[in-house]
Amino acid sequence: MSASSARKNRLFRPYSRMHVGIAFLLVLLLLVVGRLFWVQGLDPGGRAEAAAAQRTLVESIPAVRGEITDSRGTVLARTLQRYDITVDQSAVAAVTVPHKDGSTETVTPTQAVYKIADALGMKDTDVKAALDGDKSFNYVARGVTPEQYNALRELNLPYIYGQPTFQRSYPDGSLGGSVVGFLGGDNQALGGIEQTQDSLLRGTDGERRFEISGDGVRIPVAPQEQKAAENGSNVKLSLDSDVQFFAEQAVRERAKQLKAEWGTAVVMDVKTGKVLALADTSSVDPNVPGKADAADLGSRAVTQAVEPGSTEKIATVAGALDRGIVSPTTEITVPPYLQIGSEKITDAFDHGTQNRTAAGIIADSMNTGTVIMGSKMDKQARHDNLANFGVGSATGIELPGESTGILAPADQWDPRQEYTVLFGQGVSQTPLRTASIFQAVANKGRQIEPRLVDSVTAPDGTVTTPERPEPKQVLSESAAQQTLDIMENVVTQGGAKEAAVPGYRVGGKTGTAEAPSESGGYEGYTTSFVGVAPMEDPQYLVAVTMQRPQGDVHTLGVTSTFSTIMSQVLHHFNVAPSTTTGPKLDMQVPQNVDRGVTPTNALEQTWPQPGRDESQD
Amino acid sequence: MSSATSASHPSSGDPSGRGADGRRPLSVVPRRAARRSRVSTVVMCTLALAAALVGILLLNIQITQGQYQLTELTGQQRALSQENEALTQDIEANSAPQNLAARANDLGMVPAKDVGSIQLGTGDVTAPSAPAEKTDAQNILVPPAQMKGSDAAEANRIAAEERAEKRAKEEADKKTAQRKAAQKADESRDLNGGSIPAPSQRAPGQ
Repeated sequence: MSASSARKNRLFRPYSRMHVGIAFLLVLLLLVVGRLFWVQGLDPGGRAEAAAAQRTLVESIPAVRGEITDSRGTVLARTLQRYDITVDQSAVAAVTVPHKDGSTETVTPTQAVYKIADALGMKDTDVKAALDGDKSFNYVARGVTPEQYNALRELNLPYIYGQPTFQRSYPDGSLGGSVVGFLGGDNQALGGIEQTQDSLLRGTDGERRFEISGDGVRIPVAPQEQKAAENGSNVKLSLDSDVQFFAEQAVRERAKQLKAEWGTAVVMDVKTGKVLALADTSSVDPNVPGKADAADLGSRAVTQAVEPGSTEKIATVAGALDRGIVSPTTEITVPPYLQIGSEKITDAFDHGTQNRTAAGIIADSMNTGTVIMGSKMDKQARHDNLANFGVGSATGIELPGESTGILAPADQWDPRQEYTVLFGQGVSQTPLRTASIFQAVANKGRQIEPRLVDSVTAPDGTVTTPERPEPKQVLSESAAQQTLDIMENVVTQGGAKEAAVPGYRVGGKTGTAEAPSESGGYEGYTTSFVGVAPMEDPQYLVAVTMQRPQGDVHTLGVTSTFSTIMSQVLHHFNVAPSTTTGPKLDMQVPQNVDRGVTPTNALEQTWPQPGRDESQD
Repeated sequence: MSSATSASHPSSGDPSGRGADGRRPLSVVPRRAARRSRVSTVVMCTLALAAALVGILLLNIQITQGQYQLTELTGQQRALSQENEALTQDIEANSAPQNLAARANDLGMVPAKDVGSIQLGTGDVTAPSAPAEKTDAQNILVPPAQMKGSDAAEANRIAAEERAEKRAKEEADKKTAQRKAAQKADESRDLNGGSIPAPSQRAPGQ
């Protein structure tokens, strides 16, 4: 074809059939390219993502839960490597398994059951039940040890799988179990420190992302991401497991003797408010929380509010001393009983009209004398005095379910209650709060709310100390010292001589309260003793409480239990024996009895106000 | 390559020797030397190749062996750390205060009653200090932990159960003995021929 004829052709027939065809194909190509760009480039339907998601497998890397240790580093809760054993029931059949020496053996399902049972230390019937069925996933055993898992792996059974998991282990068991706490079946923290410090202990799970092909094989060249797990922090408590043991053993022995409903002991460091032991007569073994009674799951010193009884007289006398109403040697004439309107207030022992010092009133735990002293504070002041010591509010200790106790507002008190609160009836508080009142007295009037967590160690080794509560001056230093003197006379001259610890000066106060019954009224008693030692510079506090002990009211005391625990505590912490002797305060001054005082007018008697200067000498 | 150079040399060397008058032809000694070294080059190359191959082979074997060793050591490490974990658990089970106290009791140890202290200045032992007295074994009321997966914990639990059984048996024996003694005392009482004991008066102060 010549060039001119081609030009001519083009002039006359500008679009040949071929051109049209090419143009048509070009348009088609454009459509395909456009579509390709639409699908690949723009991807409005998210197909690529969906495909990637289908390929991508996300495996979680569980974080290891932190340890809980006592103040000396003894582990109270630890995380152990364990395996969950699962079976693909649909694949259970006679299989030929290779041995290490190259030989093979055919294992029937029945043989397999016996072998698995042997390896895991389980009952044959349980294993058989787990293997029977047509589920593709079923648990055979949970939390087996690496040893058992290795024995099982040597069986080479293709339908048995092991999944690594963790198990919490508590070496001390029920010793301090309610304080340490426990985890539920799904590793949910359900009690004690485990629950309150869960966010620190738990850590953050990591994850591993990788792509798998259609047949489930990992694609080696595909991108993979790995986010390492961040393990939980270790929590160190101020608890001392040896002290915890002494306290639990002592309180359990006494509770057994007295057939008490329950008992608790609190051991505290006076200077810091750190709790060294929170003993219970029975408590949960965190290894098997399901076997425990519901009442044993919490620490009763924190969860149970009881009427404190006579231990509250220390708060009353401290308030009276602080307000300059009395001094330890102020003489008050105490009639055999008090008649205030229709209310009669008596003592636990019979006596005639006596002239007692303030110290003598507390030493023999006289309700009458305490009321005479305390009634010099008006109703609101009595309420404020208790509230100042924290009665009616929680301590904020790191344990779940703390009870605040009940301190009714002063204007809601009935005519009896306004006097009974002075000796600890008609008001309720936890044994821990009672201990906290004595801590304030023994620490120069500075109350530090009790705490259990000493420090937290992050996985990278950084140690943080939780912010400690601010000391609160609830009492003047001189009033605190005078209260201590009175407490020491309770042990040296008063009704708690059994509380003495040989070699050391101790002071404290007994308490016997009627225990409110659940069905209304009162039933049984709550007996207690709270004391501190050594008196020249109080360092440790022990508070023992016994709920509804059986027997005669005069033999239900826990002073000897206090002495046992305090003696162990002082020796355990190498406290030097006392070299001084305490002040010996007069208990009674019989010659100064005011004969004009009767049960009805006793509250009206007055005495010279102690001078501030004199009281500090 | 070597054959090509040997072929070209005579043809290119001859015209230059012929055209120059009295000029000394260029020495060919090095060529002879080169020809001799040709064989050794081949041998050398072959040897080098063989050496490289052997080297790579050895290296590969080394790496593979290292891999095997790594796997084995990793397995060993895991086994050891798991063993370590199990042993730690056993130690912790044995050193739990209640188990220690119970074992001390089994050995006949008793709690110290009066603990003296030494005055460093004078060397005196201050009261109260007295040797401990032999008493009945303390009844440890804190039960051992029901820890799973530790033989030591299991052993402690069994020991505690045995102690409790023994104690219960002893108490039962004691009660039986007491009852028998009371019975015997009853029988030996002089009833003056009758069967009802005479009324006894409580002494004052009792």
